[in-house]
Amino acid sequence: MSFEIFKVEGCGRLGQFKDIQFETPNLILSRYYSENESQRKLDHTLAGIKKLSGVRTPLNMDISDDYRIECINYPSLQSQNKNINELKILKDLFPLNSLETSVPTFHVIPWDASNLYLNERESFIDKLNQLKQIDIGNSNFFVLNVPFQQKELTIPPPSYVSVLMLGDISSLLNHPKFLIQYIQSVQRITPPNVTFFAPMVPSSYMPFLSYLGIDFFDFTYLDLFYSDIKPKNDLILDLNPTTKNYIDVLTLIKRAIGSGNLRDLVRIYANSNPSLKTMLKLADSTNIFEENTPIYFKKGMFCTDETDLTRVEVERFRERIASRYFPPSLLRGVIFLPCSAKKPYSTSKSHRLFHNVIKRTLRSKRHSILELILTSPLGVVPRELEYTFPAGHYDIPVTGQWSDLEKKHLTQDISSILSKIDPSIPLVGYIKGSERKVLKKVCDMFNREITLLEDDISSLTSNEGLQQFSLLLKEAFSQTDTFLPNKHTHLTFLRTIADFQFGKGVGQILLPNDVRIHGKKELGLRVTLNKFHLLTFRQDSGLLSLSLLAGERLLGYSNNAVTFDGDQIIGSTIFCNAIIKADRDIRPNDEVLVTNRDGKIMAVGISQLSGRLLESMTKGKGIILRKKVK
Amino acid sequence: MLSINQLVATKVLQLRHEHLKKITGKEPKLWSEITEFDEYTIITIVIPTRGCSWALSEYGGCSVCGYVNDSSRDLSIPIPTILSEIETLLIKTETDRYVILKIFNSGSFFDESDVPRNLRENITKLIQKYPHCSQLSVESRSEYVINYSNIIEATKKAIKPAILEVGIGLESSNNSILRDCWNKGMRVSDYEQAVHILRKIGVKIKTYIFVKPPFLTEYEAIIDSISTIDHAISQGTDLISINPCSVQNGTLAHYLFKKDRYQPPWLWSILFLVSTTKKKYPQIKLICEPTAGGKPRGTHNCGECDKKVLRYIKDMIDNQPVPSDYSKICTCVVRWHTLITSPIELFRTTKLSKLR
Repeated sequence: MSFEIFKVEGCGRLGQFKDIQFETPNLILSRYYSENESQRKLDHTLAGIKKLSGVRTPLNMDISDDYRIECINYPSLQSQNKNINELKILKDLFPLNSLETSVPTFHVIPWDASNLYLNERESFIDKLNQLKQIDIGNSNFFVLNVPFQQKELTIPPPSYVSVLMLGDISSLLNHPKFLIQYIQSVQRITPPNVTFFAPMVPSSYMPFLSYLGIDFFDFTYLDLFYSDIKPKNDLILDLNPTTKNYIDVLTLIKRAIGSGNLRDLVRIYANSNPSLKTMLKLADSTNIFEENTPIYFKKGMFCTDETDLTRVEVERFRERIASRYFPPSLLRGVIFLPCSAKKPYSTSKSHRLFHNVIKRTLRSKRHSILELILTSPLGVVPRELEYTFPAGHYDIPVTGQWSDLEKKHLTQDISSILSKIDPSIPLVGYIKGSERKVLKKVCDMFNREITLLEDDISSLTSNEGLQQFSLLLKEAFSQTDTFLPNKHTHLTFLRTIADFQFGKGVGQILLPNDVRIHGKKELGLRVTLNKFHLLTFRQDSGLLSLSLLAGERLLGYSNNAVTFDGDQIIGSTIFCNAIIKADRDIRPNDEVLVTNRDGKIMAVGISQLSGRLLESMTKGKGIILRKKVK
Repeated sequence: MLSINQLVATKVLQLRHEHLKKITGKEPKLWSEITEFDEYTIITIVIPTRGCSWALSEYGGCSVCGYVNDSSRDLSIPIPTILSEIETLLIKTETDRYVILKIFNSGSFFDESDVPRNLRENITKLIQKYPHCSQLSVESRSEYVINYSNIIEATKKAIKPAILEVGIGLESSNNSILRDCWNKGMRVSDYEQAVHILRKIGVKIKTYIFVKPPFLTEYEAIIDSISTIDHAISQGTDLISINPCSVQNGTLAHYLFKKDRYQPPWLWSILFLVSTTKKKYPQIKLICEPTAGGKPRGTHNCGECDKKVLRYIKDMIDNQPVPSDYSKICTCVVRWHTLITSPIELFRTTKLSKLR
């Protein structure tokens, strides 16, 4: 078994079976095993029916070479006149000589029908584990069909099984709770190098099921259409039931995972069907997507409906603000500002205007003022983190109407920030509409004074509004007098990001006071320590990339370390098989430190997978290195 | 030696116990019917004897059979009522030329713990008394044929010149299916031995073939029935009775049916089986009278064409012409075709009742 993973998003993954160069996600062809004798008996008389009623199955149609892998379903052991208790070797499960294939083939292990229907999943898998395995060649892949039961599965599949078939998915398409439970209970006990196959699903379910971690689909659902059966609910996306449609959806899924947009594709399809949407919401609430969702991706993050309020990137940002962000110690005032369509905020027209007012009114005092931007769905974004993914990348439909959930999130986030700010610090809010109401409510709740704009301003960017803003600032900050040198604002900026990225308190350790900072925020910052390169702030992701020196400083303080099995790294990639231990906190695209068994730093790089996958996968790229010890 | 799958037997027994407990005290059923044909008359009578020993055994009996529900079991067997009913029926038909008396006890006629000795002997006496009765049909499990061949021989002699016909349930010629799906408790070799004995005695042999046990897919069930028919004919049976399964209370089939894990066979499957057998063995006598045909618990199709297809099955057995293109009869044949040519039933544990 040689499955490797290239890229992950949610539970979805791009991967391949190396031996046969077969990529996932993919479509395969399911068919009945046809032993000539019995097949002929049936088809002989059926030929008439077939011809006259115009039955066509996808198997008869032109399917390109890419989809030629066949998945053969064998009759049950009973039909084969076998007794599971009397079988000795793996081959015995299958009809005579059926494993002698020259082309790569998926063989579905036939079930003992009595075990299957009397809910004895476990005892059957246990018996499969006892079968002796013999050399079956590189072209045979074994598929185990795991039926649905409400009881948790505890026995992992036998090691020779490389594909798990979730056969009951097609009967659970309208039972969101059970479907999620089914997939998760099987995934929980399955090693990550085992792939999943969902037969007989409509193409509209494929994006979501990929997101849940299903790697293979087939065309069987089309059989129902070709035999004149109208599907129960006509889903708009299933109105074109053709093999071409399946192939198109598959292509979309592959490209979406490749570019980090699978979630967007899932949302589009989920919105077509109540059942799918329920599943997406249920799946979000179980937090299964967190582990394999990248720390950042370069494209914009669109939040267009309520499911996006709970998507991993948003939840993760809010969680990190709550647990890792703390306002600077020399704080003398806080200004709440609205968000802008253009990101990062400071490059937008409105924020440039706000900035001018702040600069003219407060002059050097502004360096000890904290700017907090209120937004949906991220809640509160400190000015220091405005470049950081997803704050610098998200986009939402703006109507001025906030939903209850958005208001609830904003209330939570403001409360959490306010509880970290000393009560003596004056607050100013230059905002209007719903955000203003929420802010007012929270301040009342905390018994905090806040200087707010009267709510009759037509536009915050109008001259009238900006003049009022200036007055508000003068009024609130007349007592403030602390002055911070410019260097410190950049240092605070970088330390805030370091805390956000690597954990609370890391900023102080990583960036001592005597670093030198070169460049501009908008173009990226380069930081040196004693003339050696320490780290770089990348304005596109808003995150820090580390040098070896920084890696050394972080050792022991960061949860992003992996242990490399060896003393010398050759090349610029570390493969999963060379990683013996990886922190569970590592997410795809995270900066990771590579150490040897003695805990000495060997390299720094970017993880391609999550920590769990880095440790448990045996094939495929794990870490792309930035720098290594020569 | 018994051939048992402990998992299945335990479940069947549990379900059987639960149901029999629930219906304790229910009056046993005596049911009879006279069917007149051009050349002969058939008297069918179902008698409430103690009940099939296999169904009342510690293995729970066959997985689809609920006939034991109508037997006397713990109550005393109403022997006089049975005998007088048979006599009444025989008197009623005395003017007819040939009468075939079919006695079903839903167990084994030659098993004395099921049908008491004096009942059996009195029945044979009645047949001697009414010579217009030209044939006696009874049924038995293979093991009672093997163990009590002397009784069969004696019965045969006693009813002369009437012919004795013994029906044996074969169900499947596949030992694994017999064991795991039917919970039949016998092997194919037992059937073979029983047929051998009956042939030696010179008794007519009728073979029952039930279609579609629990667990099997529609396709697997059809394939299995085809090879079972082949086997029965090769062993020298005189008559084949194709019986589509129906869902009876207190059985494994009923338990699975409630969970949507069992569906009785399609009428198309039965039509297909009958036509295949007819084509292959034009000389063999075939019977197919589906119980609960067209009803949700019996063999059925989409609901609209059930009566039509049932009639075509009858026509086919009587060698009447039947359209060769089934899709002209009803379009639901296409769905059935999908079900048996596509592996969808193998993927999942629910059976596709919705396809009908």
